[in-house]
Amino acid sequence: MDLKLTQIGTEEPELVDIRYRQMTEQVHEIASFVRLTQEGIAVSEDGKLRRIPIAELYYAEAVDNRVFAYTASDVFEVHMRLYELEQVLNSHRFLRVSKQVLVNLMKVESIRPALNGRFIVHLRNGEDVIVSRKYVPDLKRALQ
Amino acid sequence: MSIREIAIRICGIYFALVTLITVAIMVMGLAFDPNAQFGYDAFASPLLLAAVSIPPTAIMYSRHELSIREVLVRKVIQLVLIEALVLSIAFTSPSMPTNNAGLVAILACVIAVIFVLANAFAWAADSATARKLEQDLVRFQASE
Repeated sequence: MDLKLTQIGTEEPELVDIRYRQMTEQVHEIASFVRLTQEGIAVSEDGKLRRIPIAELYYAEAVDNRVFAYTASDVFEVHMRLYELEQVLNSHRFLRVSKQVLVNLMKVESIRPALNGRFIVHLRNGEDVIVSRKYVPDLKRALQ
Repeated sequence: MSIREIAIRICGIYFALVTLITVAIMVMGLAFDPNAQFGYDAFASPLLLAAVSIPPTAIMYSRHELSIREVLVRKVIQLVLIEALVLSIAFTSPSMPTNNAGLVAILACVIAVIFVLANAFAWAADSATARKLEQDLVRFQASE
């Protein structure tokens, strides 16, 4: 499979054009990956709504009945309950690691033990998220 | 955590305690009363003392996520409860010279050492689990 990249001007829309003879698993995976990077969730920033690609999210946290989504260096409020966000993100490699937190498993850099049977996942943006003891079996199952 | 997972965790703690208590009884016996002779019922002592030490672990369970400070405070309370339970058994035992304050102090220290070692073993087990999770994480991220 050859790869061709063409830089275009700002007036043209960006497009990924996959030419295939047969829909193989490889072609399907490439198409799924492109779709994944385009899917996003609606968030509010300074009172305005915008769309954040799911692939840029590191984790989401519920605080005081509000849900916040964290990217590499920003935080946005999401106007959804955490369980609703979990249903949306479940198929995108997000996992509930505590009562308040969903984490993107693709953004996890390392895992280390914490006190009382809990674990700490260290994310690529330098933040740490605690995995509650209750959710450790779910993490084991998700990674297998 | 499911009942099964809780039971497995408690069994692990129980048998670690049985081992540590057996070693402690041997060391203390050889140091203070090397010529003592016991019947077969003496083999029940480590099993009984370990069983008595398990209920105070319930203090570590909480519906909300505990902070590190809360975990440490609860660990201290757990140790105090274990000390109270084991020393009260010692005071009711005819073979234990509880009028010897020095010996009672040594026993209290030994209980604390066993408590620390049991937690250290749990930490070592969690560290091994974290390493396994990291290996699974690398495979998971590479396959996605």
